[in-house]
Amino acid sequence: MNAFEYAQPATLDEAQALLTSASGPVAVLAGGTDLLTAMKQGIVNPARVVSLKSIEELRGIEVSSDAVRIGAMTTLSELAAHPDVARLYPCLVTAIKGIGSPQIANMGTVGGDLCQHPRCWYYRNGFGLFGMNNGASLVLEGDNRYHAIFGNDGPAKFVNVSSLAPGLIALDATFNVRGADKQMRDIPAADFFKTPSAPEESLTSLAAGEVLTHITIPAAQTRNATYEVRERHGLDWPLVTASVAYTDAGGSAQNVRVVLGHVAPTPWVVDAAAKTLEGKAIDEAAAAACGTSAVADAKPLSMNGYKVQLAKVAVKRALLAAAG
Amino acid sequence: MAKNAWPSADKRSLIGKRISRLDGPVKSTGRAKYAYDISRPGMIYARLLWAPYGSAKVVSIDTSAATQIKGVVGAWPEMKDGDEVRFAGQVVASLAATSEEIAHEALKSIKVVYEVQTPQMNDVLLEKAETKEQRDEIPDAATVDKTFNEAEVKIEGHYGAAAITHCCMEAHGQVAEYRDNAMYIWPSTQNVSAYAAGLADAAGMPASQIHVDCQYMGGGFGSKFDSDQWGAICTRIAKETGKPVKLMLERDHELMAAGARPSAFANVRAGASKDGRITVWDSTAWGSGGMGGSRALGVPYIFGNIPNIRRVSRSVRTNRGSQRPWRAPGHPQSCLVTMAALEDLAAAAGVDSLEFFLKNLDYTERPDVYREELRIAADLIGYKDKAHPRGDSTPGPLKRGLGISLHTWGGAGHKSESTVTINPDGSASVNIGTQDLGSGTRTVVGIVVAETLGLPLENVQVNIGRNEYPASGASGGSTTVGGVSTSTRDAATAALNALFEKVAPALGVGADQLEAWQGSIHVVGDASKSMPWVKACSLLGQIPVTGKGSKPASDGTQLDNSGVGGVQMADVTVDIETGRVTINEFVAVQDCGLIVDLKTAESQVYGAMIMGVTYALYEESIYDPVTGRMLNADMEFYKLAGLADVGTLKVHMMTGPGYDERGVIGLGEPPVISPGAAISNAVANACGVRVPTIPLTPNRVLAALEQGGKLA
Amino acid sequence: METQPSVMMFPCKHIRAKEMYYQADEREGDAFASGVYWCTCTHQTFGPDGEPVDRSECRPGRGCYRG
Repeated sequence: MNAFEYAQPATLDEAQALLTSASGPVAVLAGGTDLLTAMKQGIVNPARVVSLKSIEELRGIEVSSDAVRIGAMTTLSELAAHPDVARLYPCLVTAIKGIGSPQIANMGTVGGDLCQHPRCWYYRNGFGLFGMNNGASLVLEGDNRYHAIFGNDGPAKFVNVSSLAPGLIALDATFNVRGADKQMRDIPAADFFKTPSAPEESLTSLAAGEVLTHITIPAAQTRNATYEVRERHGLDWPLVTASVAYTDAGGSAQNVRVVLGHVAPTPWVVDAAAKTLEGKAIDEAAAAACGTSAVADAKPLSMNGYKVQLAKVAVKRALLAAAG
Repeated sequence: MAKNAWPSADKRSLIGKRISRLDGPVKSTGRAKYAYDISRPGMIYARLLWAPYGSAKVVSIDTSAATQIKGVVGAWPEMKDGDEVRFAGQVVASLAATSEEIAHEALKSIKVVYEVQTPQMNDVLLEKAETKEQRDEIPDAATVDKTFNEAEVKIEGHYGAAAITHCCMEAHGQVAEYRDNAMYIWPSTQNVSAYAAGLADAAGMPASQIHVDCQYMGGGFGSKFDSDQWGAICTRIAKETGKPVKLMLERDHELMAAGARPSAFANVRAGASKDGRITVWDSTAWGSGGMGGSRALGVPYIFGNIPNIRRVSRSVRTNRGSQRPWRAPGHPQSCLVTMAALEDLAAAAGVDSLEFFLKNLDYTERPDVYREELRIAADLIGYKDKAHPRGDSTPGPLKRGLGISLHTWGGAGHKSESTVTINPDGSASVNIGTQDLGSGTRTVVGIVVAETLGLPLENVQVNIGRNEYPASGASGGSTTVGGVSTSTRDAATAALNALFEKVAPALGVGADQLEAWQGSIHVVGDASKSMPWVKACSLLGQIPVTGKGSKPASDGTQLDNSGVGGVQMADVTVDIETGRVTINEFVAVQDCGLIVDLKTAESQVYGAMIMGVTYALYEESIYDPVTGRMLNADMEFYKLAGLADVGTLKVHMMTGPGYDERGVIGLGEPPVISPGAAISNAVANACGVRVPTIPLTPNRVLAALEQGGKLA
Repeated sequence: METQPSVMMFPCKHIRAKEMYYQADEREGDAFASGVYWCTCTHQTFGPDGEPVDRSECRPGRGCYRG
């Protein structure tokens, strides 16, 4: 990796000053499980790295009667171990357990998980975010078994690999962001993720100097679950995940959210499929129908048609898991 | 006189017991120093620049900018302008610097211009591949066709295994240091005694002045026989700069260039009578191990005496890293193709798989051994209770099934020399130029000395891993244990007999009446006449005695043997909605003659089963068809099984009468041959369709289910 | 299986197989032989000319052959 400046400020003000004053590219260091690898691979080459580890206000979980507020620097292990999180949001706990590595869950943070770089092997092998070679997409011509089956019309064909994002979107979470001007703004979870149409475009809606400080999740009691399909049983990236949440109104489902992970350049919200369940009891037939509906618009590439089947099944199983 | 022959069961104190490896504590505490751990004063670090294209012509290499970087000691082109790059990962240039980080970064400043060409990457589609004919074996084509056409039961199928790489936990490489007109090398090698010869040109000195030291190894699996291009480069830089040099491959390069098991594919036709007696085998097989092609598959595997056989083979050339012998070269692939096709034949005949294999055992070389092993494996996995015809009819997406496979290997001991020294203070040591790949060779050598001298294992100093010691063969082909145990038994016996010559007069008997047993030397048949070991050794005066031994043994006694059989059975669950395979139980039954250390023998089998689950379910070298780059040259998408993946493993070693008296036989290869076949067969039995190629990943399982009309 | 003595008599000095490092007599047709050959010039299974290394290929007449 290149030589770089390293800063470990104690306050957000300092951090944001460091982020905006750099003359070259900057990177934010949270847990480092993604950034350090990306730097070693030479795909991220910051002139300055700003660590958020010493900023106390970014850590911890606050529970009130109407919301749970999670600091972006809370580790994934801390989140999974929190009793209120476990009680209210099993979909997040399952997603964290699914990482399959205590070491990564101990180091990785909530904010870092949401801001990861894609794992696309063309990107990681130095062919750029879109995996281009001589103006042609290597993803299309080559091995795309792990690539997107939705939202892949443009040049971005990688998948978003956040473990928490599908669950947070399903739970109607809000991302709290602090601007370089010290003003806070709220971004609905689903709006945080962007599909770039040019390689220099951001994967999130964070502006320069902005820092994701907290995630706020409504504390309302919902039924929610995550189901993921991996190749290995241990440490592995999922092939597909589905997170679902709904309100159980006396046996019928309301406010159903269904979100797929690892299928598109962003977490993939399938509202139309979710709507088919409104007011219904979640049973095997309803869940299976929702799964089928969720993948109706899938556009698999040459080698990843099997992910359509996996997405269909993941939605069904996540719904059935949520229904208990 | 002590004799070379192995002691009878009632006279074994250590042999055949479960004994923990001697180097377990130093390995588990990190005190064991591997090549990567070697650090020498003033050491510099070499790194290699590799070609990023599967096929290209080198137009120019410019190292000048790199040499200007602070900390860079030197940079050297390793190819000439106009040379052809034949796989991505081929070494183009080398560089040395005062730190690993500088070396890694400075590589980016070496400017190479390539004329990029289109690589040949396809090995799957035979008709589109660049093939080379191999010797076809078609004794009687007309009869093969006729027998197939008239067979009561017949199958036609496609089977295969993707190319994989060795993925040693410890990368290839070495440290080299030139001083006092000699070269000192700390490599990771399977080939301690012959390693120096490969570096003589690079060192500019004869092999006799090159000292090799490899005490611990993080795996080789057949990929570490050669001193390799990087060994030569490291040695050359050490000589040229006068500084110690460390050159270990980085993980991506390790996976691209330092290992490869060829792919293998076959179209098979086979026939049988309706009661399951095989009548004909007809196959066309191909595979690729890079630009050197690959050898023909040995199919039908094990069942070589099937009456009508036609075997056509093609070697496919691809722009991939060169194949290296991978643990039982060719056997896992041949076994998969054969056992899968035969299992399909059994299913087509409606004959239970176990019954089918039993019924055809006379087509193998060792039917009695397989029969016994099949019985034991069936008991261990609960075959009777779990077996069902192909396709689990239980409702729901989870389908369970059993699979069987059989294998063989040679495993005769290699050439080996050894010396055992007994000191006047009663201590004993053994010197032998072998290596311990992690399999337990160091421990086995110690056990043989201790058993022979009647001493506890901790009283024996085991010296291995240096080419100053008596030459012993490379560790390949499961030849090590037979070789080192023979030469060491021979040497220890010779040393003991020299000691007996001193002790015999003191006990008033002839040396031929003595034996060493449990810490003393005593007269055979008269326990009252004995002398404690230490007192006996004091009779040596001030001069130690050294016994020399060899394989073959000096007196011609045969202490090793060749030819083993093994049976494995897998119990799996297939989720037919997701295509995901879970190993429930996995059983291995294996013979290997006289077992020196039951614990390390069982460990070898456990390790092979885990490696087998890995290549059966997950492992695959994935190449980009456009650039020729290996896309998963990392340990993130090059997937190895972890503890959560392997299920319950059960190992049963065949020991006792009928096995022990055969002598010592190697065990490294055999247990890794059957896993792919056994697991593939279990998956077919569970979900009702054959998944043609391994690894059995969800995409392949779902595709087979869809094609077979079984997708849930 | 048959052996090919004519090939064995004149092996190129650069051909290697793992069996050479542990067997006294490396025979063609051994069912347990690796069948994997490499060249000490390239350290690959292809020779300096890019063609495969094999007992039957690395014989007098090939440009890179050294007796």
